[in-house]
Amino acid sequence: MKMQLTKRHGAARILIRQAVASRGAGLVVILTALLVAGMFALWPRVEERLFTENARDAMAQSSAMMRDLVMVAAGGPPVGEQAIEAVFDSERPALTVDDVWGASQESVLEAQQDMPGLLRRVTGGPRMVAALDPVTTPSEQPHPEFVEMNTHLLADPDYAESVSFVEGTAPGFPETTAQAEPDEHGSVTKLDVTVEIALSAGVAQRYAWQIGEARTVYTPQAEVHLELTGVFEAVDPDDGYWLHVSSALEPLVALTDPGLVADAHGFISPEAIGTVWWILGGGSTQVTRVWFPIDASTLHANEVPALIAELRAFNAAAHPMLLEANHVSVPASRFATGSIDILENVRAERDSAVALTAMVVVGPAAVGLAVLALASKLVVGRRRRMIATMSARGASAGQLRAVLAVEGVLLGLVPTVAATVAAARLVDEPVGRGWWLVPIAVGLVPIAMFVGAVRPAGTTARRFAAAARLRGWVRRTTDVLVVGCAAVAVILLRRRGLDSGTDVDPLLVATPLLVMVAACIVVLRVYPLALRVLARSLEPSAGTVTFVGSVRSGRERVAAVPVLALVAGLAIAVFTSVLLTTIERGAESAAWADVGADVRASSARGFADDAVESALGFAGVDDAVAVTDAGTTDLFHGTTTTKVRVLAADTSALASVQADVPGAPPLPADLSELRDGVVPAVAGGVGAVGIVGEVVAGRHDERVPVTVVQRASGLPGLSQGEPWLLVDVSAWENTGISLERPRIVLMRTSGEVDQAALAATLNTNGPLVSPPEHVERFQNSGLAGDIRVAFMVSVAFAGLLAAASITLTLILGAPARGRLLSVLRTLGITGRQAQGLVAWEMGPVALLALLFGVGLGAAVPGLVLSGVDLRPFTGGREQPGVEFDYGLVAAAVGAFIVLVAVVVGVAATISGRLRLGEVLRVGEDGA
Amino acid sequence: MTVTGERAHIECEDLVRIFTAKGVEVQALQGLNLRVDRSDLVAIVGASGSGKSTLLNILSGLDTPSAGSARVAGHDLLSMRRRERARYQRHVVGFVWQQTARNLLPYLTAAENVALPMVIARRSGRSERVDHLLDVLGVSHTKDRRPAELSGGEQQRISIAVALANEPEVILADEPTGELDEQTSGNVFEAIRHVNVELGVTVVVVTHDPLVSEHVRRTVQIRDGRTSTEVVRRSEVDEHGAEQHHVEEFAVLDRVGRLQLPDDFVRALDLRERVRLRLEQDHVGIWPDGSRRNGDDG
Ligand SMILES: Nc1ncnc2c1ncn2[C@@H]1O[C@H](COP(=O)(O)OP(=O)(O)OP(=O)(O)O)[C@@H](O)[C@H]1O
Ligand SMILES: [Mg+2]
Repeated sequence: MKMQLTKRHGAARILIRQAVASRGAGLVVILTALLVAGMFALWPRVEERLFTENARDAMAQSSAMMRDLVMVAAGGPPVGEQAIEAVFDSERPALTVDDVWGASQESVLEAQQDMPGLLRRVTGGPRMVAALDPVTTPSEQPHPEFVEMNTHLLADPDYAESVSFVEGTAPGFPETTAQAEPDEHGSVTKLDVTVEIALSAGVAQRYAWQIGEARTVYTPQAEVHLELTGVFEAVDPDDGYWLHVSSALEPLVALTDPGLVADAHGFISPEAIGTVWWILGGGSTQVTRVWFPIDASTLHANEVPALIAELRAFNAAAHPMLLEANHVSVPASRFATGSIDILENVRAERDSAVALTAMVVVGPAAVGLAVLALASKLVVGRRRRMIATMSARGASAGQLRAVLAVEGVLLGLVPTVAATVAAARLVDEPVGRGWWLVPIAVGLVPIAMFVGAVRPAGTTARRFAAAARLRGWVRRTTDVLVVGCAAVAVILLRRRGLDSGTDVDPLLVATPLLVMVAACIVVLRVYPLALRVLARSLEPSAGTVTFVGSVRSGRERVAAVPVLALVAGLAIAVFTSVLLTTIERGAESAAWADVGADVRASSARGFADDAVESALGFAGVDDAVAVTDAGTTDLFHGTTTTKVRVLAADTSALASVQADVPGAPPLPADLSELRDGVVPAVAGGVGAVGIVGEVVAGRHDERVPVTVVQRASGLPGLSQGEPWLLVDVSAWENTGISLERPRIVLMRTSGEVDQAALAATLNTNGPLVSPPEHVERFQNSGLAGDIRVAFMVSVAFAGLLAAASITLTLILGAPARGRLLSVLRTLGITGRQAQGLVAWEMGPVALLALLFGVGLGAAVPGLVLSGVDLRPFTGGREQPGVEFDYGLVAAAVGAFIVLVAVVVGVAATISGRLRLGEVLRVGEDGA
Repeated sequence: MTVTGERAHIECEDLVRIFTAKGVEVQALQGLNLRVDRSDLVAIVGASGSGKSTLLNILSGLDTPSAGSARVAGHDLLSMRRRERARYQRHVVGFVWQQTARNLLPYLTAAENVALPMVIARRSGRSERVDHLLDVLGVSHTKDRRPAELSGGEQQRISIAVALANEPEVILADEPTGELDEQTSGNVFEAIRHVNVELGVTVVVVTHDPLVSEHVRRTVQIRDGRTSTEVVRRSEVDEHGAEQHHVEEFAVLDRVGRLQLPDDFVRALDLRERVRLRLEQDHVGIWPDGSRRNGDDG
């Protein structure tokens, strides 16, 4: 055992001996410090990672159309003389892509060069595509499917990057095959031009267009033969590019009155854009789409606000693109992106999540520190004699403090530094410097506890008593202060009501902590009084255990840390379950408000007339209604004009479909009859019952008179926050104004419905939606799911801390208990009775903590949730009200209690078996 | 009380120590007087609760008196500041408690325990001194053992070595043999006396043990927080060459002339409430109050 490393009788040797002698207690401190610092270090990093993932997911899941920075300019690359002359003179040297596009591309690249760093990092290489007005390209034989086929000609200088030809070749420069003589003004009136085009395999097949086949278009100055020379497939069909040139891979089909109309994109040779534009009758519009793909896969959550700002600034400025419309330069114009909205949403979600988790975590964090202090007491207990002996032998307070500080550094600071570094390794996320310092600073707790154990040498009894009086005064004052602050915070919060700023509101986060600590103080103060009353009222005949137990619990100082840990843990268990219920029910009602029925089908091209009938014929569908969204239009009433969304449906069918839908208003029965030639309507957010106005509708902007017969707050699945009018289809059509095809079908179902088959029957685009799936999809995406896990982790952590604090308190109380028991044993107390005494030690206070914790957890949500925007987690438009699910609350409380009881039980068993009190040698000085 | 004029090594005058605990005042010392000469060995005896430990705590600098004066080797214990107190405890006094647990740290070996005060005082040449002290006290063999592996007597002898580590001028021992059997207690006391004689250290030892007090030249008795009587033993060799033991009992007179009569005197004459005093030429006579107790003569 001899350590020759240190001097035989040196200070270091003695310190090592001491540390080794109390390694059990030291280990407890080290483990606690690791745990608490680990939590402090991991939490913000994990949170940051989740936020980062959420930001990236949100961006990745959005469509490229929405995400990318897009500018749409009415014009194309400059059409020089060369471009037009090329039509007449096939001998001329060919135009190159660079000749036509170079200057425009250069200007786009310049715009990118001027981007601030972050924006430049997330933007990919710019793309630009010029599109010409669509031309109708009928096939020779009548097409079996389409009554009309339109082809939009595209020119993209870089399209070779995105397509690969599977048949034929890339289109070349147009060739003039015949040419009429110039007339007397020198202008050519008639040309015969072949323009080569490339179509995707999908479009070529749907259009029944063979390679080499030319379809002719007649323009004022030419007979243009569009000849298919190449069929391509997308290099990467999932590339956002194909969303920007949407119908290039598959035609877009719309149902119109004569039948199906198709629109598709085809490519011409990029350098031919000016030429083809001229051939197709120059002066027709040419639209160029310029975009920077945005790739957020390297974006970090903490960069989101900066990126939003940079995007805003970039979009606010006009960027010259060197484009031309009809030989006139297009003025500089602006980019736009949906990324700002997505990122704003991400930011709102993050802000809410930070506020919620801060509220939930602040409790266990405080408890963690308290438990570390408690663990430090184990070591302090073992140092008491050393301190007394050494100071009696003339060690100065400074010497003792230095010795203990060294030990504090080893047991506290070293583990917390290690935990912080390990956490940063494990979850490598950029966090503020504070999140390095805070977890490391946790290590100051043991140092402070150790150093604080040294009282200045030769403290006289008088000074000691004065110090004790001062401590008592300080404690009473802090008690009053904390309770006072908690009261003020509650009042302020209630007064202020909902206020959602962008930053985390300190008041919002501090209030739960303050209220929690105040509750603990009340417990600690009320408890001895209550027990003293109990003890006094008990007859001595009440039984030894009850009597001694109650007297003892009433007289001895109550262990504050387990009370804090229990109150905090229970409050958090209740708080989080209330929060989860609130979010879940909020998401549910948001889903109903979004979907509007058991099942919802939508079709962008409009449902066929028999859609409702075929839906009703489907097994499980009890009711169905088709709804036409006539879009937003003007409502004139008196001198005011309001924008309203006009919705039309068979209102009695709608009422029956939505009979059980939460939030659906009851609809009057007589909406289908005109009232004196006026369409009766249910209105939301506009007008008053009885008013008569006119809405603009129909092909020729006719005015339809309407009267509001009823008001409602919203129509689930149909209204979207702005003012709306619901009219009955038959009443509306009686005015002679036709409606578009319905695009929504809502169904009431019972039992299992084969949704895929139903979707096929109705010919919807995309799957059907129903509220539970809607909720599920929402809850599994974004932060909503992470929040749930985070809550469970924090409740479990709070449970562990509570168990640790109880175990430590029981260990620390072991010597006093031992003395008491040895006295009582001589009086003939049984082992069972001895256990009863231990139960009295923690039991009543735990019970009181249970009451206060649960009460607190139930009270706090109402107080603070109004201050946190929960809409990012519900997907709803409205802040959900606080909802209790008593079963879940009971389960959470039960789980917490079981966890604590099991851990304490296991710890007690282990400590009994290992004689942990002895291993840790608590209070061996009897101090 | 043999020395007058010249300053005594330990000098307490009207020492008062009042403890206030939960509003109740306990007068542990109520005007105690004590003088101990350099290199003297004094035993302090007294009933339980008479204030012996309180006195020793004050002398060792662990406690401060409420009033009176106390000087040890020129240090005024009342006005001593923190820095001086540390120096005083490091270099002037060494002490031994009754409970061995208070003297030795359990996780250090005997040698390390002895070295500890020297580490505190940043004294060099520790190893040699540790060996020397253990040798002087006859416990060299216990050097690398921990207190738990030692007998009570060995522990107390090591405690004495610890007290001597920084060559103090005064050793204070509060019932150092209280937990030991007669034999061992004799050994330990021998060690203390040895230190007193060989090293010339002033020793104040509190004891309940009549064996000890009978072997000490001067025994001071404390009663109710005051020194009441002193017994001085002298052995003289008379003209026949035989050793003569003289035991003289003194009462202590305080500065204002108060005197405490020994218990057995009071009982023997059934002295109560009032006594009659008469000043004679070279002594003072005390009689029971005759007006109350007829028939008794002085
Ligand atoms: N810290 C204290 N607070 C209050 N009273 C005290 C304190 N220390 C001692 N006393 C009281 O002072 C008186 C003297 O105590 P002291 O310990 O000096 O007695 P003692 O002579 O050493 O007794 P014993 O022989 O039993 O050790 C006692 O009445 C005791 O109750
Ligand atoms: Mg005593």
